[in-house]
Amino acid sequence: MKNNEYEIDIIELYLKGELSEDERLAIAERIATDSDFAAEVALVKDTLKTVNVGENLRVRELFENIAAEVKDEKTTIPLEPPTVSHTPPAVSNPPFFKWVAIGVGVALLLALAAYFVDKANKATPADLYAQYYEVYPSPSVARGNVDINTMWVEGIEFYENGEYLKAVVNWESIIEENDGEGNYLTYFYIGMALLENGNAADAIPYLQKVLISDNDYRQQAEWYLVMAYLKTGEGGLAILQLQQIAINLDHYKRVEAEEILRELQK
Amino acid sequence: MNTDQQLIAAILTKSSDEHTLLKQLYIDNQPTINRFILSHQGNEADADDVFQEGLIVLYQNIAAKKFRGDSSVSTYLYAICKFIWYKKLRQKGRYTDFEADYQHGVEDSPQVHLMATEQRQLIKKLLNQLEEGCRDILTLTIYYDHSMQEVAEKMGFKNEQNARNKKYKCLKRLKTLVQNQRGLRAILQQL
Repeated sequence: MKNNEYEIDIIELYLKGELSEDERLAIAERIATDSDFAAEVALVKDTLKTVNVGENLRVRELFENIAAEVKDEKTTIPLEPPTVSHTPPAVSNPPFFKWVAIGVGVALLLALAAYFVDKANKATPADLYAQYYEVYPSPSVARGNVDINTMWVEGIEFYENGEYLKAVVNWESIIEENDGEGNYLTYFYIGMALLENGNAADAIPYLQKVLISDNDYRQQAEWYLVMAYLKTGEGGLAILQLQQIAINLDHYKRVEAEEILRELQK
Repeated sequence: MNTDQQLIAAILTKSSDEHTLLKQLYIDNQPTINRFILSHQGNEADADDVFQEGLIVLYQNIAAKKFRGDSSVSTYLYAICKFIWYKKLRQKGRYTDFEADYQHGVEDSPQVHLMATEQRQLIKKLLNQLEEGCRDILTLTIYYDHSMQEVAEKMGFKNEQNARNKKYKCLKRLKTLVQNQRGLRAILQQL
């Protein structure tokens, strides 16, 4: 490698912060003591910045052009000129305007048809709830942070028998005795029991409490919060929650979240 | 190859269908972002700005290989736009409960949108004076931080050393152009 090339290479690495601490200190010292070298570093810095600014400009202009094209296409109503019109225009009803009127009419009809077809194909939050909701398995007798106690065990029996409100009453009593973040499992299952019982709006605050702490049920609570929002018709909140899931690469419901998002954003 | 993969490949290789695919991405996602901004204290102008910024960040993250394709491109764009909007709201003091969930891979670009037209023209003119392939090799290695080996493969060089030599020549040439361009330093210092 030529000397100059080495120099410019080293300066580039220095400016990008990719040198070792010793190398960085050596360059810094040389800048402080050698004004020619300092000027060279400043020049390379400007050169690199020119490349960066140039790329930013290119990408920005790329999207500015696309935005302008899309805007133009939206505002231009394509009207086909009349194809056969050799006869002189009639005074009372000029053919050109007649064609324009027909063209506009057809365009409006097509737009309306597309709108209603799109509407008909779009799934509602209720449809999505019905499609994606699945009962979460009942808890085991001793699971997570919950001590084995009578109220918990009895609540499980109620839950398994479909007596969800009785399960809620039992589990609420556990919380009354000792409320706190550590009860995340109890909060989660109260939320699930309420959801199963059709009380989605009441389930939401319980599921939200699961998210306060870092625990093993966060992902499940996030997913069932989405279900609760879909059930209550709160599509906006469902989208926000789905976004959180979709960007979590390890989330067990990421794929489903993306599917629902696509439906809601149609 | 699905649409997302086609788009990513087009950006990475700067292929001719890049513009068409980006335009489709724009058309497909603009209404969603618009709705989001309008329902979160923003207006139409905010929505346009955020969407534009989001697309630029998305493009640059794909080109820099920061986007790993773990979610769909649309979901990623949505997350970026949300991040940008929450950040703007926070700066305006209208949103304080911000969580950094959306920061993955998102970086601010220099304030090039504040540049005057003449300043933009000057930078473009300078870069246009470089010989064929120079701008690409400098952009890929300096802006997008691709390795010389990747650049050699992508740009069809015989080997890594040939690509390195080309980059050196290009950088040296641009350095001379920058040195001789009066007023450039003042423009760059504003950014």
